[in-house]
Amino acid sequence: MRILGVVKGQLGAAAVLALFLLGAGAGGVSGQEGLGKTTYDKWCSGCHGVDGDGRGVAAEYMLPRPRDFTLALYQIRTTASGELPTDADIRRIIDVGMPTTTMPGWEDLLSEAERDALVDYLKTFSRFFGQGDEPQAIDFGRATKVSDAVLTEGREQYQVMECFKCHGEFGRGDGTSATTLEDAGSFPIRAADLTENWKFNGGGSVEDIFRRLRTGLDGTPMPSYQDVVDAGVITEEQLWSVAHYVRSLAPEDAPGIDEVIRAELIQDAALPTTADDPAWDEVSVSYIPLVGQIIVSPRWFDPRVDGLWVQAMHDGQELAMRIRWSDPSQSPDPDWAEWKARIIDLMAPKEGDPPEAGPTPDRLVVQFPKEVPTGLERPYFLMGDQRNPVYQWRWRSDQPGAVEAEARGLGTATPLPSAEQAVTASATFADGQWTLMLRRPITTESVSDLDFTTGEAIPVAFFAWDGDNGESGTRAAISSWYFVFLEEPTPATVFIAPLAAFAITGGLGLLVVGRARKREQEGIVTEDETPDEA
Amino acid sequence: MFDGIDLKKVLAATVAVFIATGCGGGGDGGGDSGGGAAAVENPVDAATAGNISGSIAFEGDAPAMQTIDMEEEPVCADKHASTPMTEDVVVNDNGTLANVFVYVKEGLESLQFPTPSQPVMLDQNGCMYRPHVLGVMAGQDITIKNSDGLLHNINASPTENRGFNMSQPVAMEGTRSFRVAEVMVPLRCDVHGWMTAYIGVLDHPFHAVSGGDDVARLACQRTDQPADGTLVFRPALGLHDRVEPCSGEHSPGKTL
Amino acid sequence: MGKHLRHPLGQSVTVLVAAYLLIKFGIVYLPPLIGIASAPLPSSVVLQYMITVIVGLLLWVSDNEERWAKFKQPMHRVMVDPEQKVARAVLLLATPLLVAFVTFDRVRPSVAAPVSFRSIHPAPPGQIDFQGRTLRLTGLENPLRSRGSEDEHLEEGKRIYYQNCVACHGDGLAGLGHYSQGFNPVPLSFQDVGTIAQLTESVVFWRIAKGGPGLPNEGGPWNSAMPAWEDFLSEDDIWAVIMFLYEQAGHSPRTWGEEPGEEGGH
Repeated sequence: MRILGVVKGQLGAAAVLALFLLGAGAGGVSGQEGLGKTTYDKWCSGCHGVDGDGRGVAAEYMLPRPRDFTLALYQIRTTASGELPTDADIRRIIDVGMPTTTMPGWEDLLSEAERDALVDYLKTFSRFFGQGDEPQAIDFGRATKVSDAVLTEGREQYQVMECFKCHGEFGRGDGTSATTLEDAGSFPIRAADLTENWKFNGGGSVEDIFRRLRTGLDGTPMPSYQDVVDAGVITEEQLWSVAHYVRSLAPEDAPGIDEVIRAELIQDAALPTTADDPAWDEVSVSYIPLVGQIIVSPRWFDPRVDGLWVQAMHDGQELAMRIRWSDPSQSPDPDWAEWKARIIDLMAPKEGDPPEAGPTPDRLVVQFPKEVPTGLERPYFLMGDQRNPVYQWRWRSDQPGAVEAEARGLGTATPLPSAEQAVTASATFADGQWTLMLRRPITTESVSDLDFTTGEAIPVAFFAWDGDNGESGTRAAISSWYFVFLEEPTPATVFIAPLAAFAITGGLGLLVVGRARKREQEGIVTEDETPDEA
Repeated sequence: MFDGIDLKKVLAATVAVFIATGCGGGGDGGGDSGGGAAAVENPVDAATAGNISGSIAFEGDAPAMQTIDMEEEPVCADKHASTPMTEDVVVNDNGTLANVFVYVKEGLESLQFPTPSQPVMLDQNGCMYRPHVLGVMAGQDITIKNSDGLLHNINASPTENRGFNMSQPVAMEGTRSFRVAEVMVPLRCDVHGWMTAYIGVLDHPFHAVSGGDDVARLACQRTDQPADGTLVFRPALGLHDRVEPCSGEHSPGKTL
Repeated sequence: MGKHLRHPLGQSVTVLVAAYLLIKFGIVYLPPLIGIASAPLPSSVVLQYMITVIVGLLLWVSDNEERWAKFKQPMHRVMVDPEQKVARAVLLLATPLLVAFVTFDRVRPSVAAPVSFRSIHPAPPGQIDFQGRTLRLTGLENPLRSRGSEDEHLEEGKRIYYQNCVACHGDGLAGLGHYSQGFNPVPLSFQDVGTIAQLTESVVFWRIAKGGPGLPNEGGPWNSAMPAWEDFLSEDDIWAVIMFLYEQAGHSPRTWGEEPGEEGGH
């Protein structure tokens, strides 16, 4: 394409461009030295850059990218969409950080004075601050009471306001528009997974969610719903209902990290045969956080799967494990091809072989040692090493079943001989969530796999890949070693010991009381009684 | 570019042409307007106002525009008789370029113009912004309308002004304005990634957008300034401006 | 109320409750007053303290014949007084039930993870192979401290740290990077006076160069997520990042002059 134009006149195009650039560059730092600058340069500039433009040396390893302070766009505010944040808004983010990003909270590391000085210093990066009136916080009112009716109303308004377009039907960030979302810097940005409220950047309470609905998250695709209320399309109360509904999509409490996954012993029923068997609703769930594989090259700084919900049961013969995780797409999904290309372009090229070409599936690996360790020693958590291999169940979304394999280091898995394959898999994908069940006899004939034992903690680790997020090979989400504990039948001592304790204590009590009363009747008691004692 | 410039009056102004088609906009607008200390109130006098008109000729092969997949939005898809296309570069059948923002860039600094009380309408219809490019004066209301009755968000990301990100989940209207001059302010609907629009914000009323036929018309104010202003032609994709002196030497039909 | 507080039994019960509250919930707030980090007491320690308190109380009430008699008297009355029949029955039932429950709690199967013993700073080897050559660690100093511009080394160290280490060790150097909760053991905090401040730079070099896989068995190499940075960084890169660590955390490295041979001893 060519657009032709002959330049005439005193001013050339280049000159005008140069003038424009000068104009754009002029709104910089106003030279405020002091505590704010020293604190910023020391602790913040590595990511946000000395000039506050979000281009610190670490920026390329992070997605979302560090905030560009020159734009004065702040996601978490108590002010209306497009308005500047209050000082308290900026201070809050410095204090508590932004959980889905690389921004930590600084409350414990920097003094009150340093954090206050930072607020002032950050504002100097943008010429928007100091013009006109101080930004005013909105009075958000008080949360309505939650009830089933309120949640139903909230769900209805979630549909009316089409929140699902980005966040998906059940809030897992899997909406049809999620594939093209961009932030203010034109970087791809994920629609929040509303089932993980403990990771919301502005906090996970109903009040926090309501504020985000009213103010929007500036610099992201999340708009403000204030106009919708002002136009009378929905009432403020209905907006509160949406906040309550969104809150209800996440668990009551943020999950703790359970080191041990309890495999419950099922004695009078059959083990479930499918991933969505209702029997799974009856057993406890453990949360296993996953993080990017940044240990061996090529590393991966943008893992999509950030946690797994793991359950297990056994019947003395077989072990069944169910793993659920949020993933917005059933990879490979052509709708996400462009997203994948952009993520790879941004996050992959720095080292190692390029990512796998062509469509890439979602994958999940459950890893055990090859035998239950007797001492403390066990294989290297990152898929073992030459000396000490690991045993794995490997599942991928583009093939049925799962494969048992042995690995001696990341990327070296070799399947066990087909005669020794004993693990079965059942997987379903719905509304941005994978549910995968893996099942295997507790002991097998094979010498290459692990024979499970009951009554002791067996190391287990997990790996996950979202193919549509450009993940394959070593570009993965990983966990460290956790444990799975196959319950044993409750030993008889569990019931006998308390009974015995009851009998002994009770008998002793009776004995003491009996003796005391006998002595009382025999008049041996010598002390004077205090008459008014009740 | 401008051919057939019709200069009825001598213009003491710089005219800029901005092809605001699909480009990222860019933060190099004339941001420091309104700073004139002794600006003179100078409403346009229709009796002495001149007109400038021209068309923007596109040379070379017109790039093929992408088709937009509106499968997810049947309401919008049904509004289009043929497959909707992106509007990054729209070349008319006669070889002229549509959606070019033409404005007086320099020479009016000493004058002040009243902000029109009439709002400008930006419609979202068939999951497209109508118009794709529009000009307003700083402070002038822009009525943003949702004629589709499905969720749009209007995410404005200016650099000289404060932006906004408004949700419109049903057929409704909202009003916004920009405080200072900025060419161009990009608008985006994040729900429908293909929806973009550009707003040229000026502190005077002399701007126009080339249309579906070929003509961009400017009504210009006669001034007592020296007669050799500069015509700025700001072509494709926001890369840079073309500058052209705007004086009495121009004769109709001149190709720039 | 006042009457009960003058009675030795009431006093004992009051002291017991107050001691429990103080030990269980109060003590945790004391160390921060003098700027030391703190954590709630483990229940075994609470139990130990409470036994001490009970023994002390018994010594005190039995110390004086009259007090001892007065102390026993309400309990005795509950056992014998016909008017206290209900209280007696409740006590005779409730006490064994409580004991039974505690017993049950102790004997029921638990699914705890095996206790992991691990040396945080295992003793370093005398020498290592680094990218094809032998580096003698004993007596090894950071060569960048006597070469080139300190500011440039620190700048380079900062870049390396932010591009490689921040995800786990955090931009506050407190081991609280955004990936830190994904690993067990969690990444070390360099702010902690028990980490780099206790080590010579040569030991830190060894830990960075060889990472988790290079730990001796007592360090639990199979659990550590620390990469072997010799695969990513040059020798000068590692020395530069070490300089940055000490500078940014405000610590000084242990020098070879002070108590040599002890730097790995934790």
